Parts: sequence; C-alpha cells; structure tokens
Amino acid sequence: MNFFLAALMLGLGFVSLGLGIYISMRIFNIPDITTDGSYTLGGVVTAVMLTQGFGVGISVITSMLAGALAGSITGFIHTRLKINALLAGILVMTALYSVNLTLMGRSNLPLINLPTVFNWVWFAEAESSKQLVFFIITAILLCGIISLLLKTDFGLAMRATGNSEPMIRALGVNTDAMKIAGLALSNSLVALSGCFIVQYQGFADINMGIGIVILGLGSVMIGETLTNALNVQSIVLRLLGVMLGTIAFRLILAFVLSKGVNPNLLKLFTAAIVLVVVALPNLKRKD
Amino acid sequence: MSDNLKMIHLTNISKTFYPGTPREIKALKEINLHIEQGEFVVVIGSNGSGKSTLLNAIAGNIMVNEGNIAIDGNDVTRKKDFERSKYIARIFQDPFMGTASELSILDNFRLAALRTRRKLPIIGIDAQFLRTVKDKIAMLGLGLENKLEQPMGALSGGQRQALTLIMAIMDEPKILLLDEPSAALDPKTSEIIMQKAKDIITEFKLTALLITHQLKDAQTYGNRIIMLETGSVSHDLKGEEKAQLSTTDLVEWF
Repeated sequence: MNFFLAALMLGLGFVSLGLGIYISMRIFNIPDITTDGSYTLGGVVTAVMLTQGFGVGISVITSMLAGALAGSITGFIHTRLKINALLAGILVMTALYSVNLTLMGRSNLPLINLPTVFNWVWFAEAESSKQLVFFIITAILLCGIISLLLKTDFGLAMRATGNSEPMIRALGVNTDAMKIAGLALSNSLVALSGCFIVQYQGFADINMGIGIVILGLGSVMIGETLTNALNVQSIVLRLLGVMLGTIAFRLILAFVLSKGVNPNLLKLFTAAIVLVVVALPNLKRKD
Repeated sequence: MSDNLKMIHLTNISKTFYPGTPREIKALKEINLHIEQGEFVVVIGSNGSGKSTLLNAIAGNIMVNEGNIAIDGNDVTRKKDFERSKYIARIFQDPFMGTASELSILDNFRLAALRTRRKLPIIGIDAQFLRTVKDKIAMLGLGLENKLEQPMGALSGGQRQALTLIMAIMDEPKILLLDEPSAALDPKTSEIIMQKAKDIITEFKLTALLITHQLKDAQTYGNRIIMLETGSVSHDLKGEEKAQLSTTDLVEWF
C-alpha cells in the first residue's frame, strides 16, 4: 500500500511538470526538450541553496526563475536565431548538464536534516501526511492558477499564438516574444516540479531529468485521452485531466514495478506506455 | 489639404525576393501609390503580378527593400506586422488563417477587440462584452450569436469568414485589407461575404484594399481600381471612370 501511496505522491509532485509540458506542447505546439535539463536544474538549485542554508521560500522561487531563464534561452534560440525548436531544446538541455554539474560540484547531493516545503503544512503531524497534503494543495492551486491565466486576455493571446499565428500577429501580438514567455513559464513549472521532487526524495541527482519530458508528455496524453473521451472543452477540466493523467501514469508505473519488473527496465516501460497512448487514437481511426 | 487625407502613402517601394540568385523575383518595382481616406481600392492582376506582395508590404508581413510606407501620416516602413495592426485589420483568403479554431467564438472576438491594445493578464470577457459580441454577430443573421462558446473550428469556412468581417470592426480600424476573402467559398456564400464587406467599409468609412480574381467583383465593388503587371501599376482609375468600367473592359486589360 505504501508503495502506491509513494506513487501517488510522486504523481502529485509531477503535476507541475505535466502543466509545464501542456503549455509548451499543447498551447504553443512546441516540442520542448529543454524540460529534461530544466527539471534537473530546478532540483539542483533547490538542493544547493538548501544545503547552503538559504530559506525554503527563496529556494523555491530561485529554482523557478532558473527554469524560466533556461526556457527563455530555448525560446530565444528558436525564435530569434530561427533554429528548429527540437534542436534549440536539445542544445539548451545539453548545456544545462554542465551547468547542473558545476552548480552541485558533484553528481549527487543529499539533503539530510534540512527544512523543506513540507514543513509549511504545520497542521499535519506525520512527515508523509505533510507531504501528501502539500502535494494535493499545490497541485490544485497550480491547476487553478494556470487555468485562470489561460482565461485572461494574455492567456487567450498565448493560446492563439500556438493555434493561428497569422491571425494573432494581425491582431497585434509579437508572437516571438510570446513564445519566449511561454517557454519561460513552461520551464519554470518544470523546474518547480524538480524542486518539489528533490525535497521529497531527499537528494538531487545529475541524472534525475533523463526521460522526464516523455513522462510529462505521457501524462498530458493520458489526461487528454480522458478529457477527449468525455468531450470536455473547458480549460479547467482539461488541466484537471492533465493532473489525473500525471497521477495515473505514476500509478501505472508503480503497478508495473509491483509485478516484479526489473527497475532498470522502467524507462523502457515508460516509453512503451507513451507509445501506446500516442498511437492508440491513430489505430482506432482506421476502422 | 489633400495631403492630410492620404491614408496610405507608398513612395517608390520595391521588393525583390531571393536577390542575387537564379530565382530572383522582382515582385514590386518602384511603386508609387497614394490612397486617400475612405477610398475602396480593388486590386487586380494575373498570378505573380505582385498583388499579394503589395498587400503584405502594406500589412508589414514583408519588409520592402526600398522606398517608404506611411500610414495616416506615420512612417511605418520599419514597423513589423504586429505593430501596424494599430491601423490595419486583415481578412485572409483562408478563413482558417484569420481565426483560431481551438478557441471559442467569444475568445476569438475578445482578441479581435484588443487588436490595438495590450493583452494583459486580466480576465476581459464579462457580461457586457458578451452582450456586445452577441449584438454584433446577430447583425449577420446566421444564428451564430447563440453559439459563442463553441470552438471556431466547429464552423464552416463561410461562417468563419463572415465572423472575421465582424471581428475586423470590433476595434475600429483605419484600413481594411482583404486578400481574396471569398476565393475559398461557394458562389452564394461568396456573394454574401462580399456584400457584407462592402456594407462594413461604407458604414465605418474605412479605407480598404481588396484583391480579387473575380472581374465581376472588381467591377461591382470599390471606387478605385488598380491593375498590377509584373510588379508595376499598369492601370489606375477612380470615381466616374471606375464606375463606367465593364467586365469586358477589364478582360481587355489582361
């Protein structure tokens, strides 16, 4: 049971990641691989700052800003230097590996007996209930904030940028600047996820971001399969779908592991599950 | 006095694509064109004559190599398309380009209403805005005013094109650019769209440029007609002279 509780918590901790990927992949139609690096960056910045004695709040904010910076660099390379978005993301992700390693000074940094965001949940006793409550509150809060943002005039302009660029340029939006802002927002959410997960698992690791973009993409896709099946249009519900997708993906992986699958094969299963989710709608269309 | 009335002032503009290569195309050659406030200019010409390039140069989608472009007395030669939207509303040939299909009709209208303003992180759609949009869309008589929450993508090309006309006047433009607005539509819808466009241009006293391949439309609409031939203006008639043109005259121009 504890095993699945842990999976649920990880899933909730990844909601921020799912929302970030939703913004880059779905709102802006940009497959952003920066994610793998900015997730680690968020975790590394948090771990380094906490071990250096900085406060939890400032560490969280700084990790988000670091993610936003990484995202805006990708956005700049893509829009201003006219480099393909995939390549721009890979370039920044590759560069971030060295940045992360330099920041940590080693490949793994444990966080022992340090304050964490979970301490903010003063009303809960046990550490695991603090974590669970924290993850649930932040997941719902983030879904709420992002869906509100997407309903504002700025949010509508963001959505139109990914949907019909000629139209929104004719309506006075600098789409290059909008894409840079969007990738900054997306990667700050991804970094926030890294920040939370590092505090949850108690260490930062240079390899913690490998394959994270696929995990996020799979979560978004599972969520969309759900919302499409229910024919949901509203943005709030679609984002809730992303949240459920993130949790469901983690639970599926936990289930796979509980069946005695070698943990080394976890990434293989992750890729396979995403492939199935992505390919399923295409196969159905054929009949 | 007449200088104040000039809405669009093109001085010696030239545009060459792929300069210095074997594919070099001189799309516009030192064009001088002055369009006055309230003029409705029909632009005709064969394929490759530079019609679309001219429209895109005015809209700022392409930057001219030489010459000057002024709109309403402001030099906009180096301004980008999204900066010129302050003056210009566009109707694209492809209705899918002029609307965002994944956004609701209402959301599309909200963005259109903000054409000249900043898109701030505030929720701008309120009950009053909803009423305004409803009233405006009801003018079309297509029954779309009760489908405001539907995604734009659920509508037909004709319905979308009709809506983009209304979207263009959500925030009154000085200039309306129409690039073959009815080319993708069936004859009946096409006529409705053209008529609606004319009504809007007249009612709001807009300065308009219309590109068309339909000589009948070229003859029916507008109070000035210009023809482009390999990047230069070959014919330019206005007022009475334009009114007296027949489609046969126009055929002879080609």
